[in-house]
Parts: sequence; C-alpha cells; structure tokens
Amino acid sequence: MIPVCVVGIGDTDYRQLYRPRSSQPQYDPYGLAARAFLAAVDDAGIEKREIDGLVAGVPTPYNRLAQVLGLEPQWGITADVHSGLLAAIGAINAGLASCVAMIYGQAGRSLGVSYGGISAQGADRFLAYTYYSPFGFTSQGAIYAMVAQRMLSEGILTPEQLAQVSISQRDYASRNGRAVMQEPIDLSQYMKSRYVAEPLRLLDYCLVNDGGVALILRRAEDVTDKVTIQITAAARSDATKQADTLVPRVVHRYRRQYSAVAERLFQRRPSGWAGIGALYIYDSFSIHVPMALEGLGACEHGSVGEFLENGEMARGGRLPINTHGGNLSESYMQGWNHQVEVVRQLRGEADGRQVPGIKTAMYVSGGGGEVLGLLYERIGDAREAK
Amino acid sequence: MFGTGNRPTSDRQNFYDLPFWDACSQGQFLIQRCRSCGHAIFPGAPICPECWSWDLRWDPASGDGLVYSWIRMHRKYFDEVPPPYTCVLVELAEGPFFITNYRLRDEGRDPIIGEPVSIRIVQFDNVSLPIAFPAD
Repeated sequence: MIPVCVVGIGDTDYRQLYRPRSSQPQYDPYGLAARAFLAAVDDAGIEKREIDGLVAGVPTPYNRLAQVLGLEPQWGITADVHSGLLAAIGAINAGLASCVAMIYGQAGRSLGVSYGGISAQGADRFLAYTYYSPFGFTSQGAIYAMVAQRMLSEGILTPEQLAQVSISQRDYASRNGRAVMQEPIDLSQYMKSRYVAEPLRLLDYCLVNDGGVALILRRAEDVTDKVTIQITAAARSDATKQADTLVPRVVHRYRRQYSAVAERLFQRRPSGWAGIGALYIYDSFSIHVPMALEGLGACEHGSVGEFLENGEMARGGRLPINTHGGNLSESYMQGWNHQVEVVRQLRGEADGRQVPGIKTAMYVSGGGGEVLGLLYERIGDAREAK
Repeated sequence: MFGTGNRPTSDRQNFYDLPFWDACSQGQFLIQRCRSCGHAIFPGAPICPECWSWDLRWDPASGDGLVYSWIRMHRKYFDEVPPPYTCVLVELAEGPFFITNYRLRDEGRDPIIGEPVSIRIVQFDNVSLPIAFPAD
C-alpha cells in the first residue's frame, strides 16, 4: 500500500465530560464529533474545502454528520474505526479521495447505553450477542470472561498477572490530563474490585463515557511537511468459523489471525519487535492485552504472564502498551482514541507519559471475528535510526 | 425436568434454528448435520459452511459434552435470571460448542474445565431450554 499521512488529530477532555449516568448531557454524539473534528482541522491547518472524504463513526451516520458539519465529500462511509481506517486508506490509495476526515462522537454514558441484555449493542447484526439471552449470557464482558477463565486455567496467566494490565494502564492515565480515571490503583485495590462477569472484575472492564475523536488523513504526496506521521502498513485477518459459538475467540483466541497480521506488518519492518516503540491494543477488557500478546508473538510462547508481571508493558518496560490509559482508563472511544495517542507519541507530544525515542508504533484490535493491525511510523526525521 | 418461572427470549430469531427450538419444546436436543460431508452445524444455517451442500438435516444429539470454559455472572441484566448464575461453554461430543447454564441455581461447587456434562431439556413457564448438568 502507499502510506497515508495522519496530518491532524482532535479529541475531547473526557474527564471534564464525565458525569453521572443518564444525567443531562452537554452534547449529543454530533456535538462531541464536531468538537473533536474542529480540533483536528485546527491541528492539521487545513481548509474546509480540502476535505473530500468522510468516515463517520457508527453513532453519527455519514449523511447526517456530513450535513451537520457542512461537508460535501466525494467519498464517505459510516464505520467503526477499524473498518473506517482500512476504507480510508483504500479510498486514498484508489484515488477516490485525497483528504479524509474520520470522526467519532458518542454519548454512551449520558444516553445510558447498555452493553448487555436483550437489546445489547449489535444485537440485530451478530447472532452471538443475543442468542444466549435465555441463559443470561449476552454481554461482551461475559464472552471475554470465558477467554479469561480459560487462560487462567491453562497456567499461563494468574489473576495477579492480569491485574498488571489495569494497573499499568491506570498509571499511564495518571499522566494524561484528558483521562477519565487518573487515580493510580494497586494490586490490592484490583483484587478487591467487584466481579462483573467472574473472573473479570470491574477494573478489567472499559469505561462507559462520552467524548469525541477525529483524525485527518492525507495522501502522502500532498503533504509538504519534512516530518510526517504515516500509516505505512495495514493487515487484517478474520475468523468466522463457529463464531456464533465463540470458538475463534475462546478456543483459538484469534492466534492464527494475530500471527498472520504480525507477519504481514513485519514485512514492512523486518527488524521485528525490537523496532516497535509502543504497542496499542484495543482493550474493551484487560484480557485483550494478553490475548493479543500471545497471538502476535510479542513475547516468548507461554510467557505472557511473566511479561505482564515483569512490567514490560508499563512505563519503562520493554514494550509500553496503551500509554494513554486505553479504553480501560483514558476513555471508551472504541479504539479511536488509541490512534490519537499513537500520533501524539510519534510527534513527541505525550507529556509525562512520552516513550523516549519512539519512531514506530503498532496498533492491533481483535474482536467480532476481525483482527486488524496497523503500523505507524515517524518519517523524514533526520534523527531517525536506520 | 422443570425450571422456575420464565426465561428471557430474544426478539431476534435464527430462522434456521426453528426446528431446534421446536424439538426442545418436545424434550429433544438436536444438532444440524450435513448429509453430504457429515459436518455438524450449530446454530442452524441454510447451507453447509464446509462443502456448501443444501442437504442438511436435524439429528438427535447425545447431549454429552465437556466444559471448555465457564463464568459466573454477577451483574444483573435480566429480572428472570437473577445473579449470581453460572454459564458454561460446552464442547459437545458431536463437535459443535454450546453455551448454556450449569445447573439451575448457582449452588454447590464450581464447574471444572474438562468436566463431563450432560445436556438435559428443562421446561420453564415460557420456553424449554437445554441446560448442562454434571454427568452421572
């Protein structure tokens, strides 16, 4: 693929927006999307007329969002961040658009959205999410608790090791002024945290909060800046066989898909993990992190628990992970916020949580049968190590 | 065997599973099977995902299986299923996996991964459901 530049990022102050559930919101999803969008446009220094593509997040469908923002693109879709990024890269590579705004706004907390129960999100599209309602099994948390129980029982992960995901992401969030949850937690607080879907505890769960995120992507040849942040490789691998009975997730843990994605991304960076400054993992639950590490081969086979226990994902570790706090502690922007943090890190704008010397970062997500990986690189920097 | 009260049922029905639920109400546990390649399919589907044959039929299943994983729900989503309660992912002897409850109430010991279980049809007030019980 031809690399694509991320020329603008925008987000909201998630902590300031965090309010009691179902309280009168300050903004609806369109208002939150607009705030983030205007911040990203300002960051990119572009004109309204330059935007010729639009990826609208699922809560704010394309036609209405384009109208709200006064955009008349020549290409666009409604999509989650993962499909949206691939579609935008594809559209730019195909010449359908040259400057794509990707915009997300959601008010899950204000609107009292429930992620389990008879009308759980995606209920009309994914059989697995409601099929088991007669047994009280409907939530994503219940599904990932099945994964966690299995990993715990196989002797490759202990509850104390899993705790390190929530603890280190909270530590990063304590250095992120936008993060909803900034108060550090320790192991005893984690172990006292109540079960939601046992063995997963409240602190293993992502937040439910309001906010917005926007990214501006541009065709690299249109960007004159000496130093740019680029998405230089993308790969996806899907697992569908027996997905309704959770086999790819709980039994195979997407290992084959994660492995295929890593292999394809490393075709671009043959130096492998040594060249990756930080890893970003879609984390609706803490267990996503060991699941991805295992499948990607980021640590030696069977050593994912030790990797976490030794603080390798934490500040100063071998492979910092989710340095903004992720969906667990920064904001549940469903992976959109991870893209913003990658760009901040690669620009060197991540303040007290900055990973020193970072030039390359990887983002991965695994969920709903789809595993996606992206490679982000800082390009054109004279200081870049070759 | 009888359960207490109602259980939640989804508005979203899988069209191809209607024979499965009909059989449950008759006390039978069925699995769809491809007559062409023998692949066992669950939930029900229009064609065999392995060989794309349309020649599928529903066969009685043994109900035997092993606990692959399990969870205990502590958060309440349904009035009809008050927490705590236990859900299991069962690997059926016929091949497919099945999600259900482990016993009718959350009491006694936890399920054990690898434990043999037996699926039995339990009649609630509004629906009959296949539930896993420790094998005799």
